[in-house]
Amino acid sequence: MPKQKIILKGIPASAGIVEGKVKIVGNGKKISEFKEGDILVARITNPSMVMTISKSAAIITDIGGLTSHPAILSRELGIPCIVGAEKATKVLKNGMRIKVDGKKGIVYEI
Amino acid sequence: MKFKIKKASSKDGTINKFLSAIKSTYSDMDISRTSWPATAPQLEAYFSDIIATTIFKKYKENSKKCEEALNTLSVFTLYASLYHTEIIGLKVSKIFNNYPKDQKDIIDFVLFIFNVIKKRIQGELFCLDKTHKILTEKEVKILEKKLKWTEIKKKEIKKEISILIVSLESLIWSLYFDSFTCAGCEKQGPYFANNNEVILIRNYFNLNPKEIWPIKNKYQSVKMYLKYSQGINIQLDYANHIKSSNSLQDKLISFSIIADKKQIATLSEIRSLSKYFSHLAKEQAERIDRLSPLKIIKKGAEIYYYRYKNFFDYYKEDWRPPQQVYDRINGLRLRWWNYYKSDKDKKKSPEYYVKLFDPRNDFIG
Repeated sequence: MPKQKIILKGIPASAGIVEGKVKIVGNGKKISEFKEGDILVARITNPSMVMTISKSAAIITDIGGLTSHPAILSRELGIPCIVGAEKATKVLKNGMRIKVDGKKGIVYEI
Repeated sequence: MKFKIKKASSKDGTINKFLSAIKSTYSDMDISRTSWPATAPQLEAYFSDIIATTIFKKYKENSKKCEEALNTLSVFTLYASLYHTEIIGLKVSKIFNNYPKDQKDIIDFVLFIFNVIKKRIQGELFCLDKTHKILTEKEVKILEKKLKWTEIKKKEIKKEISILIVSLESLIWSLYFDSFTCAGCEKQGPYFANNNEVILIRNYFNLNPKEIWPIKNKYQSVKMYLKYSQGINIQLDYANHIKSSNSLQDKLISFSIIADKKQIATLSEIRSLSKYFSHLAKEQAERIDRLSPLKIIKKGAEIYYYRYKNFFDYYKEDWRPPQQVYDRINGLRLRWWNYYKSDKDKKKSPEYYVKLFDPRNDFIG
């Protein structure tokens, strides 16, 4: 089994492992293009992303703590979440396939 | 003399416990960077001293009447308003207006609020035991019997309940800005039910604040009673946040959801509610994103005063911000907005907030 490349680390906010496509949301980027099962990547979430969050397979944010909006909501939804990853919106690119380990707070490139 | 020392030490002990709760709560937050649409100081710097001294004066005039008025508010509003608005506001007023003159007055007021809260809760005052318990064990048993529970047989229902929570949390955030954890909802528990199952209560008690927003929500409130299987680890902090090491959705076994007076039990009913509230939240968030900073500050003032609406109603006074607040905002324009905006890129340490919310010093950030 090939060794997976770690591309990002952050605060583990909700456990679970998923693979999916990166979709960067926020700063004027179109939310409508978000597909069910995409991985939501944002500086931070806000209430206008409500429908997108519900469709996400996982959430990764640049900032935020264990009781921030994305952390709380992902624990409700039972999806992996990494907050406080600082450079997620820079390191990750739209369409990139990644694996998110919400328990360890690690993102792998696949 | 001995008595005086003992009394002072007991006050310090209570305040230190409160500050421990602040430290623990703020350790899990990144509030100076994640706030939307503004950080608390970007708004509160314009009016917290005015609100705080209004309440403080009423307490000084007649503490019993003030307590009765405070008891018209949700206990969670009391919790958050105390440190967010009242402690900071009184510290600011003491420094700039020399009112209250004495630090002791601020400390006594803070202890007074703690006492008001203490009489209304069953758990540890500062949630250091990671619970927010309002009901007695007996009341929980009665409630459990009285409610109409729907057992969850399909995984789909669990998911839809989670989406409903996401939509409600987003809606109240969009309605009450960063004070949403205390202004629009109460989260109580965890309570132990029969068979060591765990009940969590989420009460979204004001989803239609038409006094502050041009919204037409057909629902005023949604109460969610959620029962989880034993072994779930649910923790609540001082600021009404829920933490859990397990997936909440996986452990959900039954529920009782009431929208206004209507029992919501089927998948299609839950889905329809989620869609409705998601749509409202998105629409409301977009409305706010279109506002200018000055309008957001004024809305912020209205929201903060609205939190005390029942308090002012009790005194038969208008709850709306006084003209003094608008005059100050119009005069200062974006001064504090811009001043505290620079904080948005800095993560503050929990120790910063401990110092900020300590009523025994003059530190205001």
